[in-house]
Amino acid sequence: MDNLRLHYLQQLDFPECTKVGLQHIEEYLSQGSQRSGGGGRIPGLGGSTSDNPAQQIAQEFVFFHTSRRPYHQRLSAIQELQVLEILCNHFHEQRDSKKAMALFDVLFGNAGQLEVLCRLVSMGVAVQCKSLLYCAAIWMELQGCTSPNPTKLCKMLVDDYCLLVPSATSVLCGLPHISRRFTCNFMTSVTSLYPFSGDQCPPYALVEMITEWINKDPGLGLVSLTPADKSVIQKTQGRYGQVAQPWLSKVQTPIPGLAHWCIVAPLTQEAIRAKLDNRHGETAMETEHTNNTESKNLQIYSKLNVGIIQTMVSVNPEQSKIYLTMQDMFLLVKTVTGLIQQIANPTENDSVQTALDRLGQFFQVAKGTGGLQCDKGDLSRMCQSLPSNRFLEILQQQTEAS
Amino acid sequence: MAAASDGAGQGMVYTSQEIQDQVRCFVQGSTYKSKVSCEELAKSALFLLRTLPSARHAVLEHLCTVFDESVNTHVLQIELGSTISSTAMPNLDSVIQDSSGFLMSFIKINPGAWAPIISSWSINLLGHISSKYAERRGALHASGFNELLQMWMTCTATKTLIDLASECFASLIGSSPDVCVDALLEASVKYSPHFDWVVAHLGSCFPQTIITRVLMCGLKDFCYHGSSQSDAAISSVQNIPKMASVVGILGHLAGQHGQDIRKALLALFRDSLRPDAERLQQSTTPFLLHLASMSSMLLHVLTTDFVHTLTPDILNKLAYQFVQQKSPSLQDSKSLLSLVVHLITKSGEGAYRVIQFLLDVTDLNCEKELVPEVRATCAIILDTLVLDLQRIVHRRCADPSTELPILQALQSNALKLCTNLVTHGDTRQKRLTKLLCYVAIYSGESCASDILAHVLIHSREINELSAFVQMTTELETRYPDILPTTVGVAINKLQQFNMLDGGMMLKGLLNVVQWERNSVHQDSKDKISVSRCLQDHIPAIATQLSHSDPITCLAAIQLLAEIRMHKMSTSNVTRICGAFVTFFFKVLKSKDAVYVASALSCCREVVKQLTRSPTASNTLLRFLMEGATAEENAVLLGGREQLSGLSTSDINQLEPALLNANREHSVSLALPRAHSSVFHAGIIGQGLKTRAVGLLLTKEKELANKQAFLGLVWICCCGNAQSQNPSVLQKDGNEPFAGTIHNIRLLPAALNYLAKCLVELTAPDVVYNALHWPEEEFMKVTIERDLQIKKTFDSNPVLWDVMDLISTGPSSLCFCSCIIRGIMATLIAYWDSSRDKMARNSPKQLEASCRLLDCMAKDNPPIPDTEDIQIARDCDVKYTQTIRAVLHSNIDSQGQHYARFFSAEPHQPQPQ
Repeated sequence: MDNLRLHYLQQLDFPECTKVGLQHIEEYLSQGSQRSGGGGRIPGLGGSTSDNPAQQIAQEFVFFHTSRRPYHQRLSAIQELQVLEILCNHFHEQRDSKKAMALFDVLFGNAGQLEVLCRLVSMGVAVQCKSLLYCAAIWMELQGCTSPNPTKLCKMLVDDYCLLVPSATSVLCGLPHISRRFTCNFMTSVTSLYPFSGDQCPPYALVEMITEWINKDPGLGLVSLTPADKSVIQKTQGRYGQVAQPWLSKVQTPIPGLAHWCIVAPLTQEAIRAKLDNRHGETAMETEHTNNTESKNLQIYSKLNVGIIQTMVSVNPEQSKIYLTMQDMFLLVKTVTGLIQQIANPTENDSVQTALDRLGQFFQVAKGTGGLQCDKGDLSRMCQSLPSNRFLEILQQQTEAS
Repeated sequence: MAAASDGAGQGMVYTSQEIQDQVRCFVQGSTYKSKVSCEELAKSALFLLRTLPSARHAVLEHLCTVFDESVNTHVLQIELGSTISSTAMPNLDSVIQDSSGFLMSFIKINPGAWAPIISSWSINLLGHISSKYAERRGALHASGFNELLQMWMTCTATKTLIDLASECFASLIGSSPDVCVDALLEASVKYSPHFDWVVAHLGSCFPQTIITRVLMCGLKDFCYHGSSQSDAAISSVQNIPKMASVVGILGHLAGQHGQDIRKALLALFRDSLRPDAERLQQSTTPFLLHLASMSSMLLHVLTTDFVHTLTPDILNKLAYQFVQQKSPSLQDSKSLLSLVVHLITKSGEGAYRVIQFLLDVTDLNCEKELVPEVRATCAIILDTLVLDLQRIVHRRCADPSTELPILQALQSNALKLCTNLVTHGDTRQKRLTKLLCYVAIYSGESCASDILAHVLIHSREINELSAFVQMTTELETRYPDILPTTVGVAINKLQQFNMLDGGMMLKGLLNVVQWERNSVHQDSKDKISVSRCLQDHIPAIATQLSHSDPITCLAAIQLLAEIRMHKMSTSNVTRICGAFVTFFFKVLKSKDAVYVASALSCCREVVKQLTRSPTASNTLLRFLMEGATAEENAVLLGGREQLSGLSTSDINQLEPALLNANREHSVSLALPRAHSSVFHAGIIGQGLKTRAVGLLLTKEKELANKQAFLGLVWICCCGNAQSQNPSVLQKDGNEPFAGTIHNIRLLPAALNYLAKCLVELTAPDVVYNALHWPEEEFMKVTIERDLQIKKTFDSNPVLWDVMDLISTGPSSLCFCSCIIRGIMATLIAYWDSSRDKMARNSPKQLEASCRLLDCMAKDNPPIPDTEDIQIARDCDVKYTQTIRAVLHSNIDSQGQHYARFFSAEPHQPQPQ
């Protein structure tokens, strides 16, 4: 039957064969679920083989990666756009998230078509395809939001919407309206994309956007803490069996990454300013320009800081989900120490003090809301390598006293 | 542009539905599924560009077809002569303009993000279009590079594209120029010949950056490929694709931005020598060498400009760098060296400098502080070069079409190299000699002979002589006739006007000839030698005898003395003899004893050579006699000026300057339109020229001069006889005249000729010059002539000696009979009228009488072997009466002489 189906598809012309092919895949998947529902299949064995007919159809009629049609070996960019459009429409019309996820998994599960996925998601953002973004969000979580593939996806989105087409940034701004889960995972990925190492700062537009999101919707950063519908993931269990288990125990949120941004930003700013001071012969206009961007940056990051604190506070302490580990904290402290070493006279530097204050706040709130589990000595170990800061000292005293 | 500005700015927010619609519209339009008008399609494309970032690939691809179509229309218009009205594709231009406006604004707003995308897109599209339409008729007839550029620049689409590309370049060049240059290089590799105009255009927009970047990219690529395949790196360098396009691009820019390229190359090289150079930069030198191997233009820069920068310091640094470099395998450095050698053989204009440089470096005498490795390497390079050239040059015999630029270039500098050979001596001689040989072989016989001639006439030391001999041996294998040609060239140079170092040149020749004489090779008769070649040029050398510089003259006479002369034409003989005699008397005037001695000994040699032919000896005799009696020379040979009967002012005119000035003209060839003789008697305003004070000679000097003169005359008269008895001459060559005279048979013919000469010079008229003794009465008629003869003899006492010489011949004195008669008559008249008791009281007359009698005694009575003489002896009885009476009265003591005067025949006293 599978061969018959393939043969039939091969008779069709280009856009048609993709459309019909997608339908066939879905049909096959639903049959498969019935079959597996009947208990005929052992999870983790059947689905992952490459000669899976659904996979075969996807490769041949969606991505056109096959040796069988030499003249179709590569799609032109316009044809690719056509495929993307078909896919978008298909996901758009698919209201059943289970089926959508199953299809998504067949198409992009093995990450072989990352490029197409990136473009598809980018297009999905523009045309507001909810189910697609939901699937993408789940995919990101399964892969691990900070792992290379999702990071690449997010980088592409940032490039597309923040750098290449600034006029389309507003589209990205509406992301939470399309999929909160995707937005949350997007933030997680993006923070790992711009770790503030060296001069690599996140684009201003991006920071602005994230700040706005968080301030408007404090719960946004915690969406990933609510686990996705198990039945949705079930389909993909075969593929991600091993990955899915730790996912359930350890969830990634954008909070550590965003906190990292807020704490490190003033220090990086300081380093840049020092560098500019060393470079003489600047015109007054340039100096003014840098001063402007500096104050703008400072503002936006303190706003972001407020947003993060609010997010953390909004967590219901009774549910007490852990979104931060001491490992994250030590990593953060290490980065901060490294940056502080480049700054002369750190104890009297405003930026350093701001950074340390934020660090303290962050620690305190996380601990207070139950997002962080720590031992007594952890804070003092943390503060060992840091310059003195009044707020941190008070915190230490409190911890010791309690 | 209006659409662009509002699109680029913060536009309104579009709903997802709108976007979806536009996508659908665009896809359908561009895949021709449904008919969508061109403008609408363009509109939706630009809409998507603004709103749907992931669609940009598709939009750009669509724009590709739009541009392509526009170009197609343009080419069609060219082909068909614009019969296609613009209505067929009405709005393409506006679409193009709109989209380019959009793209431009994108570049301006966010160059970092957009410029790389658009530049690579536009460059690729340009490459595609230019190669696609290259075969079309419209493009074909734009054969030249500039016409092609013109054609594409008039096309809206391509012009827009190239504007976009240059805009991208302009915005990227500050931050990350590598990106765009890389794209350019890759496209250039891909679409090679058709893409050149793009490179040229962009290159001329940003010459400096493009050149340096292109070089850097090439270097990186070279390093990468070089390191990845280090074993076969050198051989496969030609396969590195970017190298070729680097060379191509630089080639395009060379025309207008040659100076920039030069600077960039130099800067690259200089940077690589900095102490903090990176590993990448350290392979600059091999990179440059490889570049040069692929382009003659770059090679030219390398050989002309770089050689100047190679100071000892830099060379040492380079050496250090090569040592430092990680494990330069032996193979590697070998192939690099062979590449260098190859490049040198290919080098053109700068070749001379390069060779000069290498020679300088390898020269141990030069005082530059060089690392020994550098010196050794240069020596290896030079040696390999010489070997290579040898191979190529000799192989070229089979295939004369092979070009060898280095030799071609050296050809023009060959003479400088020769000078180098002469001035720097031993250290570089071996290599230079070889090198010159190959230049000579390469550039044909005439140049070869030029080179050889140069070496020949400049060789002073034995080293240079050996160089000449080596070169001759080598060249003779190729050009058997090289030696005569060379000698001809050398002689021609000698005669060039105002050649100041003629003496040196002659000495060079002399050295060779002397060497030939002493060497064993001379024995093999069939070998062509310089001296044999010189035989054809004797007159030319002889003219140098009249040179004003005594050293030149000496060299010339020395050279002449070394050459064996063979038969010459009369005119040549006359010229040679004339020059020689003039020189001879000039020598006599000289006060430098050493000079005189050496010159005179040479003169004798020359005369010996000359007198091989009777014509020459006669001519020489005549010239010698004329010279001796010429009033300016008379003093030299003991002539008394006060006796010359001239006024005092004339006496001082011993050196007629005008004559000398004219003689000097003969040294050089007469040039057309140049004056070949001088006519002037002084400088206007100064009156007549002041005359030099006559020189006064000592008796010894006079004697020596006389001896020298008579020596020459004697040799002339010996003729071939001397060659039969050379030992005598050799033994006392200094004084051939003394004592030996009777041991050698002088030629009667020569003596006769000498006698006739003497008569001609002394007897002023031809009143009676017959051999017969005239009637007594007749003596009265010739009184005036007799006095004249006597006076000539008085003012030229050397004539007595000449007559002495003549009298040694068996019957030659007869020819002087009129002189003898004249002098005799004068003396008899004196003695008749003299009232002195003692003959001693008039010593001059006494001496003259003695000498006359001496002469007559030697030959008188002459051996009666001719009829004339027989008749002459039968003189009138009345003259013999007195003698007969004297003999009769003293018959007891003088009886043995009777037979000498009176024949024993009975009829002897003939009654009249």
